[in-house]
Amino acid sequence: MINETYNHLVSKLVEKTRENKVNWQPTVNSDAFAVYFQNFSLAISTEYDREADNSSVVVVLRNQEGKEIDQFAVSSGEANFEELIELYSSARRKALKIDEAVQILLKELTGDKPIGLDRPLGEDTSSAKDDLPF
Amino acid sequence: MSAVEVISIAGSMLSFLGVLIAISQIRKTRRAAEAAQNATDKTQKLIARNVLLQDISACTTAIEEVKALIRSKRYEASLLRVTDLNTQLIRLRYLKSNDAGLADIPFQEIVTQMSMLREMLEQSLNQKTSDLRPAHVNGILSRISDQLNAWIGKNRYVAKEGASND
Repeated sequence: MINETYNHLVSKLVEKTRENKVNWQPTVNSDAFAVYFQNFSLAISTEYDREADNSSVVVVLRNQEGKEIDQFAVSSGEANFEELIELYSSARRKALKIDEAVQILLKELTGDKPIGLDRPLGEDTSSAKDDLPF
Repeated sequence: MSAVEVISIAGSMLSFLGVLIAISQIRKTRRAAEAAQNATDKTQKLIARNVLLQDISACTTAIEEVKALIRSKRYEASLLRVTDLNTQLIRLRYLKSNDAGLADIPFQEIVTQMSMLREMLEQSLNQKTSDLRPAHVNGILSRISDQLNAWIGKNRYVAKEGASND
């Protein structure tokens, strides 16, 4: 259960992320994504507890020295979990530019041109002939 | 007109001329002093910028070292290097020297990433198992290094341009 302030913060973040107005970025932790402000940052990540077979979403606030100043976690079954999972998925899609990649793919697929490169870039087919032993 | 009066008028005129020459000299001296002060300020700024360029350059070198240490899974050494790097970045951030163009460096992102990396390295050392993915971590570190190198490139050019104008 998260407090009223964070509840409001999460709702606003979900809303702005849906509108594609939050600049989520990947982090050194491949399961965490962050948004940076002038003097602090907010990161969202997921954790899985194998023993309890329980997933949770963790939100961490950091100050201008990168130190953690507050965090809250919401586990599956608790209030706000669905909302936070949606936020995490959206942040991930935005940070990894998944939607852009899918859009480009769809654009390619709807065209008449052949799809994809015919061979990896830089591969020289003429060298294959030189590999013949005679 | 008596000789005394002529001498008096001539004396007054010479005195007035003397005052004009004195004012002109004072102005010249003031302009020279201002020019010298401006030159000193410019030189100080250039020196400060060059020191800053060296500091940021040292950060990119440290990032490359961290990448090599992570690649070879030497997490303890990586942790020490990342901690040093974070301290250096925080110090640079607090310079708050807008003249040096530090506002162009995304300090919040870099410091956050370094803190997260430090935590992951601590966890890896304590738990003896690691969720740390070297390729992913090094990809992010390379991006940070690229950002710092872009800043160095931009500011080195500006510094040289400033020096050549003088």
